[in-house]
Amino acid sequence: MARYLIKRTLQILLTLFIFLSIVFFLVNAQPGDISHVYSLNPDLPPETRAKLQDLFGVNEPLWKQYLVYVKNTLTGNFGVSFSLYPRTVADVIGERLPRTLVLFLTATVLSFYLGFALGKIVAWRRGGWVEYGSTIGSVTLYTVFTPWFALMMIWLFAFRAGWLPIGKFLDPVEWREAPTSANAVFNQMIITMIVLSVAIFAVFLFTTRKRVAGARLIQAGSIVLTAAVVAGVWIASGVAHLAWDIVEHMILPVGTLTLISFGGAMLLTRNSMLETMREDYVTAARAKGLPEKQVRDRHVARNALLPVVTSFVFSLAFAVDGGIIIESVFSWPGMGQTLISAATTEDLPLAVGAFVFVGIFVLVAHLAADVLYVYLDPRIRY
Amino acid sequence: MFRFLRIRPLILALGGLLAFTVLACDREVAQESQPTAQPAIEVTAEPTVEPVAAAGPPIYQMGIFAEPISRNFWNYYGGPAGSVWTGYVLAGWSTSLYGYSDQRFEWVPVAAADFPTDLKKETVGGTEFWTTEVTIKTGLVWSDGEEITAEDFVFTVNTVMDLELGSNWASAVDPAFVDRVEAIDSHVLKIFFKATDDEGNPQTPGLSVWQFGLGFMPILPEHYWAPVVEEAKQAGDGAQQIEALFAHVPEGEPTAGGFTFSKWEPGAFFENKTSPDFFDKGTIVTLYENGAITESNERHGYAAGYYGEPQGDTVLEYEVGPHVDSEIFSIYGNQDAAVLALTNGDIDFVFNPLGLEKGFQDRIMAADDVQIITNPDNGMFYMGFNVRKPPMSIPEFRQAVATVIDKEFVAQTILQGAAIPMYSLVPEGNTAWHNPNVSKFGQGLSRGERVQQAVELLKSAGFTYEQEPQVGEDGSFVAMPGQGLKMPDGSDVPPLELIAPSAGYDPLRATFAIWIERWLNDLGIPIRANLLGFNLIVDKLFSDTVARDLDLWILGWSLNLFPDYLEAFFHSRNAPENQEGGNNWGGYANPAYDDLSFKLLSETTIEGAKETVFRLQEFLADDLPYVPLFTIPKLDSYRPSRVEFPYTSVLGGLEGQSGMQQVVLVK
Amino acid sequence: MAVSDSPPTAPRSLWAVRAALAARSFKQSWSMFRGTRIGIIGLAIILFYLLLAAAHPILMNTVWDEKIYDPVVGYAFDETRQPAPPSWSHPLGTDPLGRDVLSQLMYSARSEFMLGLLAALITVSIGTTVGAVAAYFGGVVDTVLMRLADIMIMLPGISVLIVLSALIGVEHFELALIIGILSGFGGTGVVLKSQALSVVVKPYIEAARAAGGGPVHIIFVHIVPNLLPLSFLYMMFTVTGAIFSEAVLSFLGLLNVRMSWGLMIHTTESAGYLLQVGEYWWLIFPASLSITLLCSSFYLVGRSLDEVVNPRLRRS
Repeated sequence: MARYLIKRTLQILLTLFIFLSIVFFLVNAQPGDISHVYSLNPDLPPETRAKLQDLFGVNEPLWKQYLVYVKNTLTGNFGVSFSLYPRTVADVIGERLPRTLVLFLTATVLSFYLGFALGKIVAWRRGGWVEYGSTIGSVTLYTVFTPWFALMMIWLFAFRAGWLPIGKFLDPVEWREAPTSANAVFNQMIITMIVLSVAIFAVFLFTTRKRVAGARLIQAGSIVLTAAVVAGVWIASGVAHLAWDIVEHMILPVGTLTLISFGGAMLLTRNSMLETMREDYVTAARAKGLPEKQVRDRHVARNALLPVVTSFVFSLAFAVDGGIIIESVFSWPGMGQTLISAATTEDLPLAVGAFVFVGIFVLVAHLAADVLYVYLDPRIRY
Repeated sequence: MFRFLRIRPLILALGGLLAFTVLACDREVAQESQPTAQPAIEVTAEPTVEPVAAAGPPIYQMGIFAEPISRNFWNYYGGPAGSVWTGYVLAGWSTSLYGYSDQRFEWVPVAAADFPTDLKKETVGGTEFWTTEVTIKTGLVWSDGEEITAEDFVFTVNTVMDLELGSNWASAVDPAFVDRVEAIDSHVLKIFFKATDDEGNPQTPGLSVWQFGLGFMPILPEHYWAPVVEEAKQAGDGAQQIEALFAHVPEGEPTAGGFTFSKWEPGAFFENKTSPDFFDKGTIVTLYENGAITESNERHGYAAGYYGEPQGDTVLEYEVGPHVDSEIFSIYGNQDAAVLALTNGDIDFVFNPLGLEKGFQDRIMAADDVQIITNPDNGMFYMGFNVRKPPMSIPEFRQAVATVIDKEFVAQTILQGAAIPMYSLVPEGNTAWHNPNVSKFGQGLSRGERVQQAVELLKSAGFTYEQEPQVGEDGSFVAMPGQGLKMPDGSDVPPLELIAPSAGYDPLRATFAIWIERWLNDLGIPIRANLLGFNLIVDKLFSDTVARDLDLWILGWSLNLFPDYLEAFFHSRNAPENQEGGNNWGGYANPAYDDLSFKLLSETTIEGAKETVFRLQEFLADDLPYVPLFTIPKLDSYRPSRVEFPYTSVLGGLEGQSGMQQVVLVK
Repeated sequence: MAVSDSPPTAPRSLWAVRAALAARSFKQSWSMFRGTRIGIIGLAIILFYLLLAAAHPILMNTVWDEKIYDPVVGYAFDETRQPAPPSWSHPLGTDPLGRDVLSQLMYSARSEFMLGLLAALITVSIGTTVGAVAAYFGGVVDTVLMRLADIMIMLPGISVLIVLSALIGVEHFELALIIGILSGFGGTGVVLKSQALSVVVKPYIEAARAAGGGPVHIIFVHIVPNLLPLSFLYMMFTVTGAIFSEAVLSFLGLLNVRMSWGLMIHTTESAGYLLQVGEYWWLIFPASLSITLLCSSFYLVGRSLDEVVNPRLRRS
């Protein structure tokens, strides 16, 4: 297994390198550079204009730019953003990433949970109206024209009903006296989420593996306990009201994202369940006369979970991509919005940097999914 | 320091409408205060504690929908941070010697105590110079309490010249004219302009160089910036020095305006707080019907007046603030969200530099307690010809093209008044410089008459048809397009391409392009509209090789008040082949026009400049290197129950005044 | 099922046999497809939009005056105020620039189909070739193609499209090409390769090789036809992806097209009518719903085909 993982890692490094090269030349082969846009003042003397071009390094030969770029990327230096000059790309990504992560971690977890729970039921009720209804419903949501759907949500819940705040991620009046920055709060939220999920996962793993008596009680108790501890820490930190402000602003985008994406997880679970149900051990379990619910949850669902988990890891990686539309409609200043504005302003370093970053993210997720698979599925041995 | 509007800056970038271009860099509110004839009696170390209304701190909340780029003023004014959005948030920070007066755009002293001395010739060390002296007001302080002196001005000019800063800085401190500035004492400046150009020909620093150039340059605090500039100068070659200066993130930088930096939460909001020692706070500005302007400030015992003795009715009177504790710019992801926030009551005013289209207007008008006001704007959208190539090189061809374009129809009928047709290259709203009496090809004619007249024009230049266009019975449409149009030399008119912004970028220009394509095809001109992204068009215009192959293009400019752009756009020396990066993309070269437009740069009187500008407009409207298409009205929307402005009728609207941050009253 | 064309090089008899088999399996498949119901719903929606698309040129040539109903430069002179609400002459009203919404909707349907079809064809041509070649040759060829596929899969699709469309002028053809390449060399290629692997080991491939068949012959005559049913399935998903991408890019104002459903919504947005859902519904719903419906319908058809093609999903 160690050999397999090493081999896989090397492959991924190679892939990363090819990816870097393709992205760089693809983006740089395009016409146009920023100095045009910034030197449009007709009063500008030519020397000054040339100076601006030097400033942006656009006059260096391409191969030189490439070498510098590869070296820089490997050292984590993505260059300086044109449009947010003089900020570095890494700085911009560092600022936007936590916001995207908080939004999409929450939404992805929710939608997979919902999708898995529904998928189980749908697979079991094959052929009934439940299946047709939920399939059509989820396919519609899955393929719905996202900007329109998101706008309808805003219109309905924020505009007409006025229940939720509109387009932004915090309320300036609440934050103007804040002792901390939004990103610090976002980071704390990410840590909280990780601690919570690790704790819950550990408890579940422990109780199910060891077949502890009263598992449910322990599970419920420990969830309540962890939640209480976390809540306590937040309140003590004095920024709980700020985090709450962010959470309020998150409800609408997270809800929208969950509705849009649970369909994918649901259909995947359903298919995976259907495939698993044909396995001999399921037939055997049924033949033993086990209750249907137990066959479904213990024998089928647990095995059908595998592809769903891998797909979950991938979706996390593609969160940035899928987020472009949601972020732009909901005014959420994350990676997606960054990419779109970098592209439209021809901010090449930022566009390339964001791209490469997402690429690395996806590759690592690939690797993580492989490892997870090996761990979760005892049938696979390398 | 006070508010005045300085629209001067930049000819905005192409296209005027996109925030991320340099557009609009500057509009800053400088406010005029009164230079007092005599020194203030009590220099107010502590501004009398003012009885402020005690109902919670008033906050002026504005909405923007793109992130400001930097709060480094050098970078904003002369670097890549020069976006409109950056301009709005920094509008309350700076001062300059002179500025425009409120509403009337008269040239008035801001940091200067009075008008400058007349230019006079002076020989120093064997070299001839034009010199002038300016006195700076006493009692002006930076927000950290240090006095604003002549040294600050000298420092700013020297930094621009030493580092060779570009963009607006380069236009303010024109190296072809400005030799040096000296501080005679702490409050008196002496400026030396070169009296000859590089080849030794005599030259005079005209209005655009001195009064509307150097006089409008923002002044930055030496005591804060000098160490930063020194450090930047150690950073290697020129480009790296500029980079180092622009990269500096200010920490507690003192400002000269009514506001200083408070907090910036990227992606969420930008907040400025009131500057405690703002000199002009409490200044009463009065405009009289007879043209006189007065200012007085009881705190400093100031009183001053310009443009005549105050007589008769008062047109406008208000007190300079800031009348708020702080101002917050909320950052939204798009215009929809920003307008929604306005109608919802989250913000008091919203910036719409991309224009406010009809649907937004409907929505705003339907909302309770939101008001829309309309003002003319100083921007221009046009169709340019590459006059290096036939048939665009033939004036009659250009006139024929102008004749068939029914601007009124597209602007008023199709676009429902979102655009206003224009014929002169100086927008109507710029009343002082606009010449209404220029040729207006095709205006008021029916479709049939337009086609008839265009065909006449083409034939008079030697064009021939195999089959002339046939006009339908009622004369309102072309039943059969013209065919086989040949140029005077007998060859076919080649297929032409009209490049224009796509509907995604600007629906107005895209709509014009599509209609123009149709009308020219009716005339038998084989043209195709190619709608492209904004950046692609700019790339084409800037690439020397591609630019020469262009045929026609549609773009736009945001303009300065003083129309020296008539020289920059059309003088042959500014063609890209003659000057790298020149803006005369179409390659227009007409010796008569060259002479006349060059003369404008040396005009030292308003009257002289005006006469020249009028003649230039007539010239252009006949020869048509550009066909001016339309301008757009400036619409502003705000919540009248929350905010009150001293006046709302002004060129460029409230937005042109950056939301009137220093005079707005928040209830 | 879709195997009716016979390349000139192929021996007739083989194709005749295949055609007979195909016809039989088509009947079976069709009854299975019908059994899924959701596929029929999808098919009905597709047919509806095909009719709309086909009717547009007919209407333009008969009852609709070009000056008024042209989807791009038409202008509703008969309305005093734009956007005008639905009326007899404009059943779905007019847009903010005075153009007939129904005409735009029908006109765009045609280009959506063409875009989808083109993208699907490119994807599938590349995908089947890549799959067959990788499976047949194995070794280095396989490794290279699969590494490439890794990259394609890794590329964030919408982001790539956004960057490209902002930098080069992307129209429908370029869009179809980009989507085709991304998907053909990426996901579709990988799936088809795994299918091809099961074909390559069949005895008749060995037989063909023994009979002196060259790689090109074997790949295109023996392997590719066996991949076609699965390819057809992936065409459906590609169509969904292509229409959706087009809509998103047009909505963001990044595509250089003169008319499309996405652009209709963009026009609505830039004119500020997007949140006047009740008052100006005809500016928002027809285009949005069309995008959603057409995307869903191809997806539903794809899902149903999946059940037909994929034996593991069949009902016992």
